[in-house]
Amino acid sequence: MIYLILSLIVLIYVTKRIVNIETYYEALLLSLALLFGLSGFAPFIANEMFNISYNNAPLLILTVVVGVGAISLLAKIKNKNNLIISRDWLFIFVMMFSVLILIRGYLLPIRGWDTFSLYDSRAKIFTQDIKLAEMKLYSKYDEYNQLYYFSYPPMTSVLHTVMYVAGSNRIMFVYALFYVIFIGFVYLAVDTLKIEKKIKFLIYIISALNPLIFTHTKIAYTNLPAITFQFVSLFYLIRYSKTGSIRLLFISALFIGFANWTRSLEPVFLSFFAAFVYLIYIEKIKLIQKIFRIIIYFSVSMVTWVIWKYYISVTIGGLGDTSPGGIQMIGSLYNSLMLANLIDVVFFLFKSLFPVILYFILAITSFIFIVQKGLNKIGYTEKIISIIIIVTNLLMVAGTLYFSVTFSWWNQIPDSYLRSNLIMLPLMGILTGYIIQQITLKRRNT
Amino acid sequence: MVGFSALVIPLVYLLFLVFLGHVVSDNKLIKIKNTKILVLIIVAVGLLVISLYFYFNLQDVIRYSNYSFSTYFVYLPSLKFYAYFQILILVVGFFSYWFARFDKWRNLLRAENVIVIIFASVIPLVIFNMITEVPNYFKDEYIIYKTYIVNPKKNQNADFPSLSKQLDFIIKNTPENSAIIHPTQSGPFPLIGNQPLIRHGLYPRTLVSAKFAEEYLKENGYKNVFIIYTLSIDSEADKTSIHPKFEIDNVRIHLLYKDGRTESVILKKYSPNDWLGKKEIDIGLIEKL
Repeated sequence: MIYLILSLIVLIYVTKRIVNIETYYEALLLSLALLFGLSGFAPFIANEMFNISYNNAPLLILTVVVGVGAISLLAKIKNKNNLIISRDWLFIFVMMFSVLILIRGYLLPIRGWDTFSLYDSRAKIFTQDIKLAEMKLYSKYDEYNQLYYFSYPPMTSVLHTVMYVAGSNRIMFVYALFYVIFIGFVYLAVDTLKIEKKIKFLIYIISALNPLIFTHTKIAYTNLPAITFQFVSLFYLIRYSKTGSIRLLFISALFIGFANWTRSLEPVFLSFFAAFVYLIYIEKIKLIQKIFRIIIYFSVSMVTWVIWKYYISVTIGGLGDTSPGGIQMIGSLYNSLMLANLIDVVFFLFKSLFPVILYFILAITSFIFIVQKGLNKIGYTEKIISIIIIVTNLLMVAGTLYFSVTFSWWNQIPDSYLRSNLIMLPLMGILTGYIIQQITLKRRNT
Repeated sequence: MVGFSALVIPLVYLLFLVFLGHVVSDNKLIKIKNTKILVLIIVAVGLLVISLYFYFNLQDVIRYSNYSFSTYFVYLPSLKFYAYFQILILVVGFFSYWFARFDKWRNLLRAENVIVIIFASVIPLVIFNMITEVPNYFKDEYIIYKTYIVNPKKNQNADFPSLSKQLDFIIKNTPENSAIIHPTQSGPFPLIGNQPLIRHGLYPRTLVSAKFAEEYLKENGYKNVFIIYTLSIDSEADKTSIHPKFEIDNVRIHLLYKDGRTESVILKKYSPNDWLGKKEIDIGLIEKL
């Protein structure tokens, strides 16, 4: 545990030095998120490639952090921001809520069906120094769950392993920390809005504290880590759109990578790519710089995805229909457009998204506002968020269409579908905030 | 209550429309002298419906779900729907009044204002929705707190208490290098048949689905093999499922009874037919001697 805490301190020092951090609070949150991402990634690679036991994971993480930190300190850029946060009542509310969540997370028992059968199981097996590749042997005498342990990337499993090795079995504390990072970054995002405090508070509540997301602090599923990473990535993409700093772009890409290392089934990263491509397209820099940035963004964000696909292909060959090839996908999509099937799909979408339909009303209203106002009068941030919301939803619809002709059980999982869409809630909430800001700012000016 | 609300609430909508018409009409086509009383009635009924919803929701959470319906014949989902409308009425009413009061009526139909009104109506609905979940949360947290935090037991699995009892028994009676044959994952055996799920507790024991039992026994013999005996009785379909379905000679069976007793018996022969009616047994482990 001491190694992990040391790693965190090093990370805070490094991020404070070289990233355009605005407050100590942000430095802490970013370092924690980075620490989680690294801890879920580095020990797995070290174990699979260099046979380094998971028992040395905390030391390994510290080594990686110190190594990478030392290299990045060569950049010698000093952060000139004044790092003290303004202590308003909204911040105090977030702090108190975070402390409550952490205490609760420390006490909670580990829960959730999938975590027992998959995430935590893998962690328990990892602690016995067994590689993931060796787990395919377990499929030999199992009638129904062929290659089950390969169905998700190992981010949370490795995090559990690191916790066990570090001598703690308070696994839910990790998820409490994830939630604290998430609500922290939502606070930072909402705090930049220039709207009245009370409205800010309402926007914050609907974006961060929705019960659908909060429930995930009780169960050890991958959804909460995934949306945390995605949200951090979005946060730095937005800041990149304002400052143009390549470091922020790097961090944004890194967190997309971590998110892909957590859940690889949903192609949410494609919508981030769409937003990034748009940003690069409008940015006024030289062509060669644009190409350089595109290469950095794509290589960093896709590295984990590529590693996982490669790993799957060398260890077990492939996962079958849940990760299809392009041509197969297009063929199935074409087949799915029959009217009878379409009606089923629309009904399914409506049923599964009904609990969040009010958020969709907010988002659609925002889109109407944007279109009515004219695209060139809208800030980049609103555009980025809108692109991500629209592309993600299109992908989700396409995915549902594909599933509807591939699996017979496709309409049995509305809850699962809703869980995959959780990142929409903070995005739609914050988009609403930005639209309100547009309206009120204009009011004040006229 | 439902019958009552069916009368009162539409009446309020009517009053609301009158109020709107009153506010809208510049030349005061519809004149009502006591607008204040009208507004008071609308607000009072609105708040009443909203607080009634909170009250009955709380009752449901505290007593048992469906308590309000079975006791007061209040159907909560429709009450929630009414409450939604009341919130909308209050918001739109407030805005209409505000626009009219400050004589901004002519600007009202600009897109911006419409969007403000939509936001102002939907955001309270979202928050109302979230608040209605709060009692449920507190109840859930309270149960978790009472069950797992105040007095935690070792190896307690919060999600499958009955399964963890069985797994503890298996762990106690089998060495780590043994193999365990379990029933196939299916309707009668959803938990004990789910190999990845029970591996979480039983690791590093080798686990074998019933389908592969024969194959495994042929390859490795009976040494160090334990076969899970379990029974699933579906009283509705009048169907009993048992595992294992085949006969075994010369066995020792470790038994865990539902009341927590354990016992070991040695038999000449295990035959599924003899074991069909033993409802008092929670789980057993068959070991060939």
